[in-house]
Amino acid sequence: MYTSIPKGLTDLTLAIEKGTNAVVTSKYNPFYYHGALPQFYLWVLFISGLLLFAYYIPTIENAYFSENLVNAWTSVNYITNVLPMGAVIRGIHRYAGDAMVLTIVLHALRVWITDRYRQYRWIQWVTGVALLFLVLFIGQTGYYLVWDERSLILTRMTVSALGALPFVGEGLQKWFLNGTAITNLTLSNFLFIHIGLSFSLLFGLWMHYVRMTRPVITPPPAINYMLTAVLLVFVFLYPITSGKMADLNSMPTSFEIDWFFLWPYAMMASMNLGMYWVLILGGAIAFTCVPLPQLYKASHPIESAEVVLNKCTGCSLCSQDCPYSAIEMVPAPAGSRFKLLATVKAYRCSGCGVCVGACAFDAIDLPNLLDTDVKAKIKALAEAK
Amino acid sequence: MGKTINLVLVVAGALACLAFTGLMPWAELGMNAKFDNWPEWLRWLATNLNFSLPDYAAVSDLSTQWTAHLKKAGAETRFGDYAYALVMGLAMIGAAIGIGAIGREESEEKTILPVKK
Repeated sequence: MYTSIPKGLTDLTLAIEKGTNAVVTSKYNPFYYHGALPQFYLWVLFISGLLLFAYYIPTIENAYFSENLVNAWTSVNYITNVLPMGAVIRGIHRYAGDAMVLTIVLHALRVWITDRYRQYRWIQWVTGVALLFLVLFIGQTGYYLVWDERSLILTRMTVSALGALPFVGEGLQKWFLNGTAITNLTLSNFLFIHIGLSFSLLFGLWMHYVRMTRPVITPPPAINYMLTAVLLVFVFLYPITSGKMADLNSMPTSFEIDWFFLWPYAMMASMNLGMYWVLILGGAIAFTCVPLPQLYKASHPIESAEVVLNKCTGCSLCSQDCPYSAIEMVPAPAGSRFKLLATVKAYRCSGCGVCVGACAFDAIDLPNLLDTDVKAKIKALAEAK
Repeated sequence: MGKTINLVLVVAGALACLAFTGLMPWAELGMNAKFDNWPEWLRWLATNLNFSLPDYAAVSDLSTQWTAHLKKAGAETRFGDYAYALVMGLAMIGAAIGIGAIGREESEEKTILPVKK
């Protein structure tokens, strides 16, 4: 039953891809760039965010002893209603975030449907899930920064939810608020989390790509134009607006929800906090562990290639052939007849065996799939025929 | 047949791109291209070199419709900025169609198998 679902979905995906190929050809088929689409939106977010950052003031109270009130809400209001193209940049930032979540989910679905998460690809899956949760959290902090009534509700709900966690709850509340109550420092913290964590996405992406062969990270220009155009059309159709300025003495109770980022708050509002955390943490762990059963069942668990030191001539053929850049040539130890020695970076090696084929000196092998064993098996099979 | 479709798409995409790009100054002027709204240096040039600046009278209805939509959707000011975003987006869609059509041709050529001599 379980296997028939991905099989059926794979057939459906392939049929859709074939149909799309017939119209736009494989070169412009967005299905072949499903991993690059969120990355494109990440660049859009970085650039538009930089422009917004230039005018954003992370305070609740009046800043700079100004005559008129200058705080987070008024600065966002200034960006939206006064700054030339400010509303457009804000809209692009918001919709690029939504588009990023959407394309990540579609990317994960396609990876799952086409079985591209098994074996050595477990790293991509696990880092991908971590990146998705990071993107969701960063996006939520973006909603706090506007500092309208919705921001206030979301901040209070987050504080309550963190407080419900045993042992670490109180500490997390203090970390989140940057103190014990909502103050100017809280907004500084939100801004730091929003921007600081965004840059940590780059490290996450490096982890995501490290074991990939030739990852496609840039779609062709025509697709980029289309992706940008979609954002611009949405900016016009659904202009971004703020709610009323947050007032710490008020108790707003309802807010407009953005289902891409704020669905956890809808969950939070509809159940007790204990159940909320069980579902969120349980769901996150289950989602992360999707590749585990296949990893456990694998007949040949991944072991990285090993260099036979006394046979390696330092010719570097294995290093050149390795599709994962997992082999580095280092200076040979003193006393060696050769200048270089191959070394395997275990965290990059997928155990594909390309290096074994590349080596003319039998100087590299897979420990659980020895060259001699493979040859013996092939010989036995040939003789049996 | 395939080449004809590609040519049609390239021309259609290019024309759409040019048409919407042509609307960008109008949008940037707040969807109102009366002479006084144009930048001073362009007005000076128009006056001294004796040419007229376009007034975009043909699209004045669009201005009314788009402003009404934006007000209804919650936008408060700078409606021209939103209009600029829309026409730029539509111009980019035109460009994408044109570029895609050119690329399609290249892509198809690659699939032709070489003939053995």
